[in-house]
Amino acid sequence: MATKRDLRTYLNEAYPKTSDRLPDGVVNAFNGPYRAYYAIGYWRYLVAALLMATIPILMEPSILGDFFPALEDSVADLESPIPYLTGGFGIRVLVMTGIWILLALGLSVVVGMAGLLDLGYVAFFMLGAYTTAFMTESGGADQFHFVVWPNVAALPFAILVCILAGVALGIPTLRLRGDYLAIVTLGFHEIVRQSANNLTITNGSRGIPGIERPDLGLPESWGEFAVLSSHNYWFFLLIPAIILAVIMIRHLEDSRVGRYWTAIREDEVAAAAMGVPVVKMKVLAFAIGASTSGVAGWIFAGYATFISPNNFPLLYSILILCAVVIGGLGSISGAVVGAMLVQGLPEVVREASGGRTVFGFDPETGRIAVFGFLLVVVMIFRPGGLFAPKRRRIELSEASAAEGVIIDESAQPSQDEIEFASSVHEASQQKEGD
Amino acid sequence: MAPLLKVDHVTMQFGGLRALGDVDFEISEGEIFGLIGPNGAGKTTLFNCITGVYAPTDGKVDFVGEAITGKRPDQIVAIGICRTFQQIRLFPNMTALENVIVGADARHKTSIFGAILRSRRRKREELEGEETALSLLDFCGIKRYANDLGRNLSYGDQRRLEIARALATQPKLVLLDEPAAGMNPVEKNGLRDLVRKIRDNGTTVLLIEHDMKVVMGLSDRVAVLDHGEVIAEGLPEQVQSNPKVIEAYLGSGAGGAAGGAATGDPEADDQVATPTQGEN
Repeated sequence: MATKRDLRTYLNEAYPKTSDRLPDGVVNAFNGPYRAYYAIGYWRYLVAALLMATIPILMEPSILGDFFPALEDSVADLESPIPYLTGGFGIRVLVMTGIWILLALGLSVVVGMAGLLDLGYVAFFMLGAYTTAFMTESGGADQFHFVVWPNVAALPFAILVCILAGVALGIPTLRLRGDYLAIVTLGFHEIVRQSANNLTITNGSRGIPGIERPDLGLPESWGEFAVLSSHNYWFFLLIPAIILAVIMIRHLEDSRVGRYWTAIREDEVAAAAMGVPVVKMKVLAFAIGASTSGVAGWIFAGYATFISPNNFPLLYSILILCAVVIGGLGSISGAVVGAMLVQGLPEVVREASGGRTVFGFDPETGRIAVFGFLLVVVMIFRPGGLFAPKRRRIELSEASAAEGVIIDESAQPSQDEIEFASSVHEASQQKEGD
Repeated sequence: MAPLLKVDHVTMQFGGLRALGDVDFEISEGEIFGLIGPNGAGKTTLFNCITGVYAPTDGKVDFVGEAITGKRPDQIVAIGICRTFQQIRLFPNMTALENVIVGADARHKTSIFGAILRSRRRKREELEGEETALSLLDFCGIKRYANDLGRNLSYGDQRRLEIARALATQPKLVLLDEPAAGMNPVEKNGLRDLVRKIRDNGTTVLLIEHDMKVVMGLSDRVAVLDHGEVIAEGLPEQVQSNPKVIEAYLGSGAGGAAGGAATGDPEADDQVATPTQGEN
C-alpha cells in the first residue's frame, strides 16, 4: 500500500494517457487538496457532506434563514451565485439527482462489480416506495395500507422488502448469465409494475396520493425541517444516505466480498474453481444493490407524497444503467458522477437554452438530444467510462523487480530442447522446400 | 498409506456420449501423477468431475477418505483441491496480485458485516492475503508483474499466474490442465522446475499434459486415457512402451514407433509428441 498519496502517481496508474497531457502546474495545483483529502481519513466523508450541504444553500440562499433565524432578514434577498438551476426548481432537480445517485450506487454493485446485467432495477425502487406508502398515513381510503406507522418506521421495512425481493429474484436466476439474465430482470420489472397497475391495494394506475412526510423526531425549534415540510430540505436527508451508501460499498469493494464480485464478473467458471461461492455472492450482490434503492424509494415516497406506476417506467432502469456505464463500470465515484450527468445535465441544457431551440428542437426535447449526443461521445472516447475502477497495486522494491530477471536467466534451454527445437526448425524448412 | 485421491469407477455420460467409462485410479500423497491421452480422450472431463463442475453419472471420487462427488466447486476448493485451466481463465482486468489474492481468500473468513464494518479480522486477512500473494508470485517467478493486469501478461506468465492463483487456495492436491501448452522450450523447462518445486513443497500434483518430454520427465506415475477409459497405468517407462498406448497415439500399424519409444530414444519421443503438437 502506498503510504504517501500523490496525484501524479494516481493519474499515471488510473489514467496514463490523460496524465501525459496534463501539465505539471495543473497537477501540482490540485496535489495539495488531493493529499489533504486522503490524509484526514474518515473525516473526508464529513468534508464531502459539508460540501454537499452547501449546494442547496447556493441554489437558494434563503434556506439559511430557516436554520438561523437571526440571518433571516439578511439572506432573504440574496441572489444565487450560480447561473443555472437556481431556486426551488434547482433544488427539485438536486433532490431527484440525489435519489438517482443512490440508485446508481446500488446498480453499480449489481452491474459494475458483480457483472449481473439488471434491466429491471427500478422495480426495487418501486417496491421501496410502495412499501413506504403501504405502511404510513396516506390520503384517500384506508385500503392503501397494511399498518399506519410513522413514516420513519417504514424505512427499515422498505430496505428489508427490497433485500428480500433481491434475494427472491436472485435465487431462481442464478444459472442465467448476460443477455438471459437481462431479459429475466426486464420481466421482473414488468411483473412489479403491472401488479401495481392492477391491484386494488395500490389503487391501480391512479396511484397512492397524500403520503405522509417523515417526522424526524427533531426538537420543535428546528421548525419545518423537523417534518421536512418543504422540498427545500430534502437534500439534507439524502446527504447522510448517500455518504453511508458510499462508505458501505467502498468497504465491500475493498474486501474479500468485492474481490469475489469482480472475479465473478471477470470469469464465473474460474471464480468457482478458486473457491468463490458464486451462488451466495450473486444473491448478495442483488441484495446489497436492492438495499440502496429501498432507501431511495422511501425518500421518494415521502418527498413526492404521490406515487403511481407511471413514476417508475422502464426508461428509468435504462437511464440508471446509462449513469453507471458512463461513470465507469465498477467505479463508485463514476456512479455518482454518472447519475449527476444523467439526471442533472438535461435540466442544465434546458435552462441554458433559455427557451431558444436546441439543434432545431424545442428545449424540452432538445435537452434529451444533447444528452444522447454526449452519451455517444463519452462512449467513443472513453469506452471504459469516465472513471476507472480502483485496482489494487503495491509498491515493488527494485530488488524484487530484479529477482524476476534472474529466474528467467536460469531457465536456459537444456541440450535436448535445443536439439528438439532445431529438428522442428529443420522439418519446417524441408516442408517449405517441397 | 491411504491414497490422497481415489477415483473410483467414475463414469460420465453426456446423453449418448460416454465421455468417461469406469475410470479408476489412485494418487498417493507427494507424487506427481501424469494423465495423458489423445485429444478428446476425456482428461479434462475427468478434471471437471473431480473439481465439482460435473457430477459423475456413476462412481465416486474420494479425497483423503471423504467422498467429494456432488459437492460444489467452492466446497471442493475448501477441502483442498484446486485446478488450472487448459484455456487460460484468469481474471483479465484484475492485477496479478489481485488474481492471487482471490485464491487466498478461499482460506479467509471475513463476513459481509465484517467487510462493511472493517473488522479487525478483515484487516488482518487483507494483509495476510497480500503477503501470501506476493510470496506465491515470487515462488512462480512473476513477482515483478504483481501490478500488471492479468491480460497484459505474456502467455507463459499467464500460465504461471494461474498456477500461483491455484496454490493460493492452499490445496493438498493441485490439478494442472496442460500447463505447458503453447510454451516455447525455454518456458517449458522453467515450468518443469516449477512443478517439481510445488511437489517438493508438499503439494501433490495431478498433471494433464500433451508434451511427452514434460510429462515423462516429471511424472512419478502416469495413466493413459483413451476414449474415456484408462488403457495403461504405471511408471513412465512402462507406459511409454505399452503397445496399447502407442496405438492410441499413432494408430494401429505403428510398430516401428513402438520399438523406438521402448528405447526412450529422444527422436522417437518427438514422434509421439508431434501429432499432438499441431493440435495445440
